[in-house]
Amino acid sequence: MPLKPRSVAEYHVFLASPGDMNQERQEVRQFFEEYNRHTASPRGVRFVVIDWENYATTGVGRPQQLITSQTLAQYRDSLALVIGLMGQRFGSPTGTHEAGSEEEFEWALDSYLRTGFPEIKWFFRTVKQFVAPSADTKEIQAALEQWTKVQNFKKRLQQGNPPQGQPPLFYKEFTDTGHFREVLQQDLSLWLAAPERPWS
Amino acid sequence: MARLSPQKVDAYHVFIASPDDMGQERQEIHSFFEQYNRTMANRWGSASLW
Repeated sequence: MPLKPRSVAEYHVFLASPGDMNQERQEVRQFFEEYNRHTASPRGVRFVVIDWENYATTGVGRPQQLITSQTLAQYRDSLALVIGLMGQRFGSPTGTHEAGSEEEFEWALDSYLRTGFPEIKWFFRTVKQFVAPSADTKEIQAALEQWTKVQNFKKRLQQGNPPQGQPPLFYKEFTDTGHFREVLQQDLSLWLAAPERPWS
Repeated sequence: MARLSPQKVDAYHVFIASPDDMGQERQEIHSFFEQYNRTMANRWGSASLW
């Protein structure tokens, strides 16, 4: 009797965040690993988390353009979800945008408005008190600028840009990694199980 | 309008047999196939699950 593979429908999830959200990025990966094992796999479905660290290769060109073409654009047909995470940092300028995550958000929103997917979910870590990275005034100023950009971006998501046809976005906040796990679990479990999802 | 279309992949399964003092080595096998799926199997439309 020959070895027979199982046919699996694979959807992709893109993770967008600046570099200070590694623990939360790991939580997203763990969530889908467990979800695949317990829920998706028995139904012949699998969700693969894609990110720049593991899916983008070096080369000639604007770095964020290379990242976008090798992740978001590469998987555009099966890209079900983009998850954005932000804390106190916004990220580094890409040449066209203030940060890679912002450029990725723009790409995802443009695709969503044209095709209806990917869904976009954004989570912010609540910053109750601004934490200075060091006693160096230049570093404090740079960190404050980053935090200001995060606040402006959050405001932009809240309000959208109706004249440009951009809707507002309902985001969620969390206090720490443990709380993020709960918020993510609740949000994704409901969203993934909704009857209108193509894998339901 | 374009539709969300999953990639169809052939999934093969790998079973890890060991007593419970081999946690790190089990993790190595997970990591190996995770990377293998990402870099190689994915391009052929197949995946190894465990």
